[in-house]
Amino acid sequence: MNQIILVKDIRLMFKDLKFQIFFLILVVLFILSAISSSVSFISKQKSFQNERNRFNDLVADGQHIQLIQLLQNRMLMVASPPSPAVLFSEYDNYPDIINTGIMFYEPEFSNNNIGLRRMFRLNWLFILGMIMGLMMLIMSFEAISQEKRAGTLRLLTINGVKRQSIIWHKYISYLILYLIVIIPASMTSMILFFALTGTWSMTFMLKFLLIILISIPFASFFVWLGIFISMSKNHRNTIVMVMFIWAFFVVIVPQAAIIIAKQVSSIKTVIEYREIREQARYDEMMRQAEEENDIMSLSFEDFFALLASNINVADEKKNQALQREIEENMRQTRMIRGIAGISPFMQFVNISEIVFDKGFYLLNFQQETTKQAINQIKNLMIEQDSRDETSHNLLYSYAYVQRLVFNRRGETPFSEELFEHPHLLFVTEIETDDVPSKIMEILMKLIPILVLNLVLMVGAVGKFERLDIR
Amino acid sequence: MLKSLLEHELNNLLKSKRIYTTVIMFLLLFVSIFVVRVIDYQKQVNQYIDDVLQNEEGLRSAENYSFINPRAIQQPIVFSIYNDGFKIPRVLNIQYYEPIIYAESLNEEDNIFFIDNNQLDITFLITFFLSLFILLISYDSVNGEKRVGTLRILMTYPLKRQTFILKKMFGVFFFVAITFTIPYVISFVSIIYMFVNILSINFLLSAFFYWLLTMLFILFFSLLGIFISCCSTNPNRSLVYSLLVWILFRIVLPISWDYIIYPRLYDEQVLHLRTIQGDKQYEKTRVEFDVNPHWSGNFIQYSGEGFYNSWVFAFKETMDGRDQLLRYMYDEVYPLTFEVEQARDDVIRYLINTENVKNWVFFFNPIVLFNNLSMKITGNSRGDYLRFLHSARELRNELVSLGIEEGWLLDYRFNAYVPEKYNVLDYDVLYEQVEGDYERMGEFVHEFIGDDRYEMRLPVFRRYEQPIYSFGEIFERIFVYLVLFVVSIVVLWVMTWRKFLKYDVR
Repeated sequence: MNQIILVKDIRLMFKDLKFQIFFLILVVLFILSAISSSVSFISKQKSFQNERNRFNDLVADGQHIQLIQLLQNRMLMVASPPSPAVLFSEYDNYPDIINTGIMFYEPEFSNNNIGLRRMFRLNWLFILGMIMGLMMLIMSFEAISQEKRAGTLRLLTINGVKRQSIIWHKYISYLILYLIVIIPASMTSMILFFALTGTWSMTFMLKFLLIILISIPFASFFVWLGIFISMSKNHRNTIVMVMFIWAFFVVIVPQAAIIIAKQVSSIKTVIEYREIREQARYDEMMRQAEEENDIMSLSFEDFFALLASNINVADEKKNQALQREIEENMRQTRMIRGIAGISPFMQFVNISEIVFDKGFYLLNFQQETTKQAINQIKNLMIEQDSRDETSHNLLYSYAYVQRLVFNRRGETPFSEELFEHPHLLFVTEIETDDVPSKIMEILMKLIPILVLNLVLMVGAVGKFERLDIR
Repeated sequence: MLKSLLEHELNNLLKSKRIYTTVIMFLLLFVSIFVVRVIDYQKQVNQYIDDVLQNEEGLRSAENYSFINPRAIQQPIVFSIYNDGFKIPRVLNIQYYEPIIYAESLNEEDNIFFIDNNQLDITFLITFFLSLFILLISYDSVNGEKRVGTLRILMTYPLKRQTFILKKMFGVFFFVAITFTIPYVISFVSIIYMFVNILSINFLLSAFFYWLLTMLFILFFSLLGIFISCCSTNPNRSLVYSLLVWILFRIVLPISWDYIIYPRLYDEQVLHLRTIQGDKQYEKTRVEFDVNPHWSGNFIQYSGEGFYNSWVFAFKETMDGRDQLLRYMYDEVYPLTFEVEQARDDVIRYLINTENVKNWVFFFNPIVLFNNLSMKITGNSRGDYLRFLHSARELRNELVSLGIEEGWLLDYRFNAYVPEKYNVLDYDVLYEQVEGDYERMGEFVHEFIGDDRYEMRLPVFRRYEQPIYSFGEIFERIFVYLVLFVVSIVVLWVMTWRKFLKYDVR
């Protein structure tokens, strides 16, 4: 009997015009998203390749990777290469390239995303996150009321089918329907994308499958919501309200979060930050100037050793101010994400960042990687410099400017040889968490939506038990 | 008859619970968006004041003509609370021979981790929610009456079908128009109260045209809802249809233009124009670097920024070289500045052109039209950006010709550190005198000059002023598209009318 009900439910839905139209729209959207993402992927790859070529030119030039030059230039680049994840989302709210100098971690963030910044982009996130929620809602908002109106609900209960099993079959049939709609369309889209870009990657296929799997609890949330609504007396009125709630969470909350967070956790202006940095450096230099050192009595070596250490300390003060600045920016970004996290849609986005190693999730690791790379390169430079007999081993940022004084004596403050490991200066491998801890994190992030599902389910089942079905 | 029907229609609408929910939702959204935007705007105004003060301070502390760096600073447009438009930083740097092609930001916050693409404003509320709201009100206006049987009764009266459909349309239209106008007027008055000292006629004009445009928008969607309602006998089905139409108009069509059609049609040309601009910029830099090194020979220079913001003094030979450099910059580099600007303008004009093409392609889609037209009305479209660039360039050109006229642009005064009488030392003679000891040379120079500094009088030049629009000017901007809008409404009306003439009322 149960099986018959399930089959009936699914068959009926297939015959529904709503379903047919939606299915068609979804297929079209999925295909269009594959085409537009492939265009964007190819242009991103091009711009990334340009970046790499520019770097190679600098290396070939030689001058830029002189050890002494590296003290001054921002030559270290940590970039996340474009990946097929663009089919899911561009993640263009977050930078993905870090440029920094070697002396300190002084990042300059940029983004290789080009093109328009619009609220809606045609990709899987848009379809799975935004449109699907709405569609599941529209599909299911008359699940019970229709049967009640047609009188079939009464017939079913006469035949001894339990109420619980009726509502469960409804729910399961909608979920099956969701999968029937999503899987073929998304697979077509995925294959089309890989064919158009020529990047067949097994890992990414699995990741795309995983993201579809993860989207199920979100779809199920909307199905329960729809079923819940369909039991209300005037379901057409309720759907209006629900539509607004949907739009509120999907559109208003993420947008308003930015404006609110900027008020709550404000950062200073660009100019103020610049002044604070320079001031920190200046104060330190003034302090040093007040210290009474008999410079005249110092030897050439001792004088420059003192100068180098003084400049280093001043630079460090400046860098500390910069680190505070980064922290403040980070705090505001966390605040934006925290407020936007109220919306299940943003939760879905956050989870997808973990799956695809993108966005803010990656940015944290990217910063870690950069700091590690700085340490590694610095050590290698010191090691290489110690082998140079003409060098005074003065590791400080002004060494390049003051080299002329040394050159006259046939010496140099820091080695002028070429850096032996230039490939370390362009990092594209960013290490993130290992798979088990990633899965744990995803599961942790799924808990809120699962709890929401549970609450709605209990509510819907409870309400259906007491529903007047005459 | 029409009047009583209209009253009946409005009364009916007011009694529906669904309408109440929708109206309350809409009002809540309106208020919350408005408050958030006003707070944001207040912040922008404060930053703008800081910008202006900083600019004045910079001009006051200028020590010679090379330090004069007036900025064209755009006051945040009050109406941007309603329509954010094409967002750019508000400062243009005016420096003698530098091309003015990009706006910069001074006292703005810039989160380095988060790239902001916020678009939450009243325009968004209208194009996103109001359109949905109208469709949700009107999707069952005809078939709902049929279902309860009132349509059949009405048709037994001597009432023309077009009268019936007209009153339906006006019923929905007036209802939504009132729902929108009341909070709009209240917000409008509160803005006048809050920002009275920075308001101009622009705000009133924008507000009027915006309201007019919104009315047309509401009219179109009311008709659309009724049309959909005539297409199906089942209200549930027409609900689904109207949601589909909404998704198509609001999301699918604009997106497929932006991400699929647009890149295929225009990307190549835009890239080409950008390359030309880049080449011109490179050409200018090359000419700038191509300076005869002799001209900047033995001089004592303070402040490391080179040509601008620097002092040059001491040797006669240096000053002669400097004169030649100034002449070279004016003769060779300055004309290239115009070429760079021209190339940049070509890019912007092309982009404006593509936006207009989009308007024509989507003549049937009021959401696209509304988005573009509201920017033109507010004065923050791409075209206004171009205008901003042009007016800053005009100021720059005036400043340069003033400098030529008064002479300071091409003589020692441009980079002066000391009065002219000190620029007489001969480097070679002095070098022999001090026997090649640079330290002694420096001491000598400083003793020679003493504490005497050049004192500049800030020349009088025109500052940037916010453009004031006239009624005719704004009307001219949107006239063509307004006609397009009206035509699409008329077409839709005819379609609805024809459809209803054949409608089975039983």
